[in-house]
Amino acid sequence: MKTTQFLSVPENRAAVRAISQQVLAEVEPDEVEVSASFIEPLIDMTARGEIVTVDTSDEAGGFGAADLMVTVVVPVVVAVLGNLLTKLGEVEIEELKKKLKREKEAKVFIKVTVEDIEVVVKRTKSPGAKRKIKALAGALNGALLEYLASK
Amino acid sequence: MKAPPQKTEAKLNIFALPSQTTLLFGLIVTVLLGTVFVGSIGPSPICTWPLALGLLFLPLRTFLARPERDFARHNLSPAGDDLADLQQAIETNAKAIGLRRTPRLVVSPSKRPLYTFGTRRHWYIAVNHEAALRLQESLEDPDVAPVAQARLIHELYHFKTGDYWQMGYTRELLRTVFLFMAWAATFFCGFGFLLIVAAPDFLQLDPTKLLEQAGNLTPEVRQMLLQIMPSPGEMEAVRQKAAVINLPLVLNFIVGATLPYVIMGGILWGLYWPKLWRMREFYADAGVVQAQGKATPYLSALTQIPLPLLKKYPYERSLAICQQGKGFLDIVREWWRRIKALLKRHPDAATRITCVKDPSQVIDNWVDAAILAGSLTLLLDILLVSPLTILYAGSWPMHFSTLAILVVVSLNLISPLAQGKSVWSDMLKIIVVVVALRLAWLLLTIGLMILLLVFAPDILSETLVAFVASSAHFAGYSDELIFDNLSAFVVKASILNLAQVLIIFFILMVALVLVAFLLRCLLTWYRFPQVNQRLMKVAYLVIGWVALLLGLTILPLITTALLRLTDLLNLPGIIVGALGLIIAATGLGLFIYAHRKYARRCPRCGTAVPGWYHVGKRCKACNALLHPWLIAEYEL
Repeated sequence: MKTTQFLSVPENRAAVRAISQQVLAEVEPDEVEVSASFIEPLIDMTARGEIVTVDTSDEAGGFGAADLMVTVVVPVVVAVLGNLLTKLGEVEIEELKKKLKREKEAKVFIKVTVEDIEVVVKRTKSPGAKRKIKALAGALNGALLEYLASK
Repeated sequence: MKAPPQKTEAKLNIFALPSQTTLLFGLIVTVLLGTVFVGSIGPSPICTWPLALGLLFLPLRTFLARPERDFARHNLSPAGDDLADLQQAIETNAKAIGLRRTPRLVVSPSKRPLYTFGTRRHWYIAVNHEAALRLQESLEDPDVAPVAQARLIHELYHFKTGDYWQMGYTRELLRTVFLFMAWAATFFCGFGFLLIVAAPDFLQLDPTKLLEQAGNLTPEVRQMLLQIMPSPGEMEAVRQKAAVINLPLVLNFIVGATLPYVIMGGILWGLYWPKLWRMREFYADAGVVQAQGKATPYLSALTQIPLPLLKKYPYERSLAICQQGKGFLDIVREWWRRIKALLKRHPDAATRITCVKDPSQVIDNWVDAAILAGSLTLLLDILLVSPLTILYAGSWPMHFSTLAILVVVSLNLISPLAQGKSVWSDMLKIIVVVVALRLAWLLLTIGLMILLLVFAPDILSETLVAFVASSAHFAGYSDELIFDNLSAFVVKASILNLAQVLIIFFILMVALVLVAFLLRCLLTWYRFPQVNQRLMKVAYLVIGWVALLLGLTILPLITTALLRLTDLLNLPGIIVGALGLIIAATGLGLFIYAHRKYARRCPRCGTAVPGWYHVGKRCKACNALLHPWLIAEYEL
């Protein structure tokens, strides 16, 4: 299964959205409000294999480029959830949640490393995300565990 | 980061209100040029007006010559025929937003971004050649044309708001003041130290003895040199003149006159210059969304998210996220981030988007306004005690900064009043912050004086002598350089200065309450002819009217009563005060007349509209939108 194929299921999209919001609230709380409208378009972009690239050369004096954390968080969440579903052989997040409840040991798969995030950060060239990679990894692990292991 | 957008339906048209960019520009110019001009009109130890004119015109000259220098420095050249369509698009959009002329497109071989520059008469948009070709191509693609157009309109709005010349002049003014004063401080101090070291030898020089030592000179040459060199009588006259010059005091004057400008110029450059940069972007962004009638192309240009995807999903205002309480480290990090943000020239994307979604966020909230007005007070307090201006400031210590704060705070009141917000508590908080900063500065000075008085009275005496010498003494207003009764001086200075702080607090509060009330009344003049073009001008007149009343009547009266009670019945003072009262009474009469004629009536049906104005208010009888020019119309 292609790692982004799971996004065609509405519940899975909702999960990406909820986890992204939770991560943003922890890592970049100022962005939560303004990023609300961008999550769905970014999910679509990620599903198409596209990614937002931050062009900081257009910073001072020009129009400027938005280095929004959401442009990194959404692709990372999609990648992590996609890999998790593939590893555990599921298609829907709700099924995955049930499986995690049944098989407690499966929780070890919920582990996002700095390297996982670096792959996406390198593609987006986001300086803001680069500075906060460790915080992103911590927040993402927490949000994933909370969402997937919740009742 | 600004506060999240309020849930208001109508969006404020920030272009109808006093521009925050202009306010910042005015603040920087007031601090740097205003103080030098004040020194020119009042008594000063040196002739200050050439300096004032120099600091006014030198930056202007550099500013006007800047485009040519930019052309040479960045190897810019006019765009060729291959970019004719882009130039045409610039012209079309410039006309659409009402620019009086079209900026010329120039291309650069370097990788500089799209940017604007120019003088009042010559406008340029510069861009890298490849980027220009890409932009032109995008403008022809219907899917992405609005996004490319958003970038173009953003640049054009820098001309529309006039920030390009404010930025250009401010940059040159800050540079000129900093460089000139730093040069003056270095040169004159160096010269002064040279004189201190060399003066004794020079003054003991005997030209006749010197020539006698040079034995191989012919009698003709010796005679010629003797004629050129000063005679013993002339040397004696120089010695007598030099004996009364106290070179350390002269050096003290030089440092006191120049260093505050170097430091203040640096502070303005470090903190206010980046704020001016950030503020201009908010206005250009607001211009884009107003010109295009929707925010999505702008958001797509900023975030790089394709326009069709942004259009596909409806705008969401808020999210239901439960944020956890912040720990101490988080709070420290947050404040550190805010401090770093003060130095950034480009606003962060989240703030830009917030301001587009709710334009009222562009206007300074009470904290920002208090910091702005408070720092203005501190800067003025420090600059006005420089030897160039202390004689004026000593005579009229409350005028300049009180009037400057009144104008700055009053202009900041218009926006919340237009939104129908209560401004009383914010106003009080701003004035408390301003007065507290001033009081802190004063208490620091008084505390230092008292400490010196108790533990080192000699140092205090020498410091005061140096201070008087560098101002009143050099200006010829004080012959004596002795402080007989130090404790009496310290007590009197402390009482007078503390009284001034309280008086200023009281005056500012009363004046601002009056201004706020008048502005609130003014905003109900729905039937005022050409209201969209003239109401803000009347608002400026109202603020100017109150400032005039304070400047001509109230402040001179209080200052004279406090500092020179015997001058209270001085005829010129009475005439000026009476003039201020007459102008104030006439202004008030006209305001009341106009208020009765134009206020609280619907311009469409003439029905009475009770209550104060707020953005989006409608006539209950005919549902006509009141002051529609204060509302920005665009889709999110």
